[in-house]
Amino acid sequence: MEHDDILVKVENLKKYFPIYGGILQRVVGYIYAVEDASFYIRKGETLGLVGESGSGKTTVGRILVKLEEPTGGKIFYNSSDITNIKGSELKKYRRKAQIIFQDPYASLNPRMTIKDSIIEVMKVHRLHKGEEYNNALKLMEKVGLSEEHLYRFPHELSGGQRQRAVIARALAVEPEFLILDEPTASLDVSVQAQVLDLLKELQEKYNYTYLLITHNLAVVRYISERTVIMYRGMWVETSPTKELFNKAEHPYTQALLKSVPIPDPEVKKDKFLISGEPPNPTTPVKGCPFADRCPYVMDICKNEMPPVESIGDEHKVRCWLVNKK
Amino acid sequence: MDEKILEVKNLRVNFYTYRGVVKALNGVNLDLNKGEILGLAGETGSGKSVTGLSILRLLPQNARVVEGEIFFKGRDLLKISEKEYNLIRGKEINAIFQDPHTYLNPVFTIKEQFKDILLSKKDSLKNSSKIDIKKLDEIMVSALKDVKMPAVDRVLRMYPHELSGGMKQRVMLAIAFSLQPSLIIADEPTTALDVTIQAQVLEIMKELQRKYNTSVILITHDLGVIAETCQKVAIMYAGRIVEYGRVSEVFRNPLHPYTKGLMEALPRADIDVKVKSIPGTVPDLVSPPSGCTFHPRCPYAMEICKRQSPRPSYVKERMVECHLYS
Repeated sequence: MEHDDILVKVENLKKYFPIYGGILQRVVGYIYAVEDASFYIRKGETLGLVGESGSGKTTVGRILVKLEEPTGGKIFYNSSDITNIKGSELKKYRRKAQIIFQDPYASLNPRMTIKDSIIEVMKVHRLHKGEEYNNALKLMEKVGLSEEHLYRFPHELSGGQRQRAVIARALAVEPEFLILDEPTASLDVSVQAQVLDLLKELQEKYNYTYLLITHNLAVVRYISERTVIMYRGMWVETSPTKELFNKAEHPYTQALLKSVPIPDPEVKKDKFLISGEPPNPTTPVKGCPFADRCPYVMDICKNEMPPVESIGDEHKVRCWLVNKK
Repeated sequence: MDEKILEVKNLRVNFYTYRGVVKALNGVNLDLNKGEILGLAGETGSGKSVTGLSILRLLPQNARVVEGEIFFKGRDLLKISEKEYNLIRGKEINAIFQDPHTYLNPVFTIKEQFKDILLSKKDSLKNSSKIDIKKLDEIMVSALKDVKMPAVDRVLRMYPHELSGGMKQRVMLAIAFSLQPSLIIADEPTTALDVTIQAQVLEIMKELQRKYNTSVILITHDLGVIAETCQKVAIMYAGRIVEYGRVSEVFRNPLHPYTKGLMEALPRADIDVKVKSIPGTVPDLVSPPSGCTFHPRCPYAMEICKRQSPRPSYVKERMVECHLYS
């Protein structure tokens, strides 16, 4: 399925990190962080990339801003292949794609005021010459901070304000595409809602495209139009978010949804607990990565990779169970 | 008749820092019955962990209890000597913390450190009829079986780094429940875990709690965890409990504006909601706002809220501290 308004497209992305060992520090094995990530994001859309720790979601985000080189697969941005771009082309791409990390304190230089942090970015990209300060001020207003915050150091801001400052800095290069890696995981609930609403508002106004990487299903339901579920480096289900929450097909997605604690004591859930833990990332997967925890496991699951099954318009799942139905 | 096991009265704790005196707890009152799970909810800096640490008498060096009493089975824990408390801590009151990695010693096997812990409690077990301290191996094996640990013998020989996060937290649960304490303080026990693992660990904790009729104070910022695990809930804000009651009532009908705000700020995984954030930020406890500490963020703030701190109002088992209800 091709759409002409697709901004980012990722095909069979792979990333293996080598493990060095022995006195000669030779490669003795690999961590199979990402085995297969494939998805696309339309302009102005939010795609949720969901998975538990070790699912490879963060690695995918880092590859997308080219902080890591993929082992295999292709990345397209605006239909052009950017998998191997370098030099000035890479710099141009980095102006368009920005990443926001979980911990805003670690993302800001503690010795620089917010103003210096923001203006430095503009200087690197030679933007707004002579107008740096005025533009920094406009950015602060955009993210709901005021002029006085420009003169503060990161430690003088609260967690929520710091995350706003990081967002302001990311917007300083006038990007189109923002990768949000657990943007609210370190914030308290009351502040989390402020930041989520800010992100939504900015998207409505300026048509930004988001890739939201998170483990928090409630956050995904709140702001993303479509969702990809990853497990052990592999995507297992992708669907419009609404449909995914109403009729998840993959047993892992179902288990995930039923494991989320619901803040309403009157909601009685049929508990669907899965035992065990995700498999070791240093052994390559043979067959379905979820096979050893799946309550419906069949012989074929352990040996053969499930094929991709289309269920709805944009709802795809990778499971033998669905294939056999 | 419910048997009261813990009673915290007007607890005030200060932290002495270079920035000034941080008034972390400003008069906390808390009751806990036998066999009950109480959820202590609140945001960063609300004092929920400090409350737990005060009960355990594990406050850091720069903190002082300036006022208040903590009655555990009728004895004031703040008045007894450290030596006496040592007979209680670990045996009668035990704790589970967020990051199991920091609480297990990396250079000893699970068996070695578990044994050490049990032996250190020898004195408090002298007169116990339930537990025979001489049968160390039996205690350890049955504790690990209690938490559904597969291959118990192998796990006992392992070092902490060989276990996953979920497994380590199960070991912590096993240790905490091994001497069948009356009270367990669980401070964010599942926050570091993935949701599927969190669900497993919470299920095990509930099972053990029922089996031994333990009272638990579950400290967490996750209201979902409280809704699914606890019978009672206490909502903390700026060092005070602003609302307290049965989980079913507090969640269905929150009274305090802060509790209401928290519930509305929460995106949900099961239904579509419009979240509404609470404006402003948590107050600085070096110089907390006058009157009700929530008034600068409260949509219902009145004149009196700025001047006077509210007294608690009670309706049956429900408590709320807000001028709207006095």
